[in-house]
Amino acid sequence: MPHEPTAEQLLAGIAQHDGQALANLYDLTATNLYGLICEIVSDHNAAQNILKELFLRLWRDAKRIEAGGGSVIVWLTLDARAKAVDWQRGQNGLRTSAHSRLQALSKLMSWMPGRADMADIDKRRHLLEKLVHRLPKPQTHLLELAVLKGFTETEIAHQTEQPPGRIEHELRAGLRFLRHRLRAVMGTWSANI
Amino acid sequence: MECQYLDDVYELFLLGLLKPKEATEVKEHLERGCPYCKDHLREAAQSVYFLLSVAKGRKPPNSLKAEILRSLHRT
Ligand SMILES: [Zn+2]
Repeated sequence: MPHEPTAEQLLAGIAQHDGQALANLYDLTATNLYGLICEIVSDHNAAQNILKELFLRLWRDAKRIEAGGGSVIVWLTLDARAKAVDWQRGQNGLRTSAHSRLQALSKLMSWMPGRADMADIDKRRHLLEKLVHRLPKPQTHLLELAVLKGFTETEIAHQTEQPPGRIEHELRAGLRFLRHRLRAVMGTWSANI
Repeated sequence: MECQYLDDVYELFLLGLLKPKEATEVKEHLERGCPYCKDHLREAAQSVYFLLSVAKGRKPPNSLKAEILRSLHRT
């Protein structure tokens, strides 16, 4: 059986406007991306539009994304999150700048994780998932509000009626926990954590 | 390294969640091409990607793929 093409090989095809390559990348990623978008937005029609626009942007920008050298799966995931967060925030009458900020950032420099970095994460995924469950509940909730719902620290403080300083401290502690565990897991195969 | 004070903000920066003033400071710093911050931003992207990829998958309706493929040549 021939090897399945990787996401990066498919991206190269998309950059040459190969529709079949886009169809294959869609098959590879759409279920995860749609699941993520549906976690963020409350409306399924909007979620489908966001997914559709995402692949149309990929079609237009594939050359630039390929030249950046980062993982296309990370690009799709971050882009989907930013668009979904903006849509949901717009529904709630909040400022929407997640996508424009991400776009500005993507022009800045080649900071995107590469394919090898992502393969490492995928190989260690079960270990990482166990680690996320070790986060204290309140921190997990804060991470969900910030990462999935796109609420700022000030907005979370307002909603939860807690002092902004405390929210800032807890949220950053949650992100630090994750960052340090990720470092440990990526650094050693048999890390006993 | 003077920019270690940024260690705790890369994820928030990437997520567009820093206050505008703070975000501008980080962005201006990054524009100077700091390798320390570039590495840390890459690491933050892995962290954020991991958090986002924990979401449960959901199959979009079959008609969506065909609709996207039909739209390709109109963009
Ligand atoms: Zn720096």
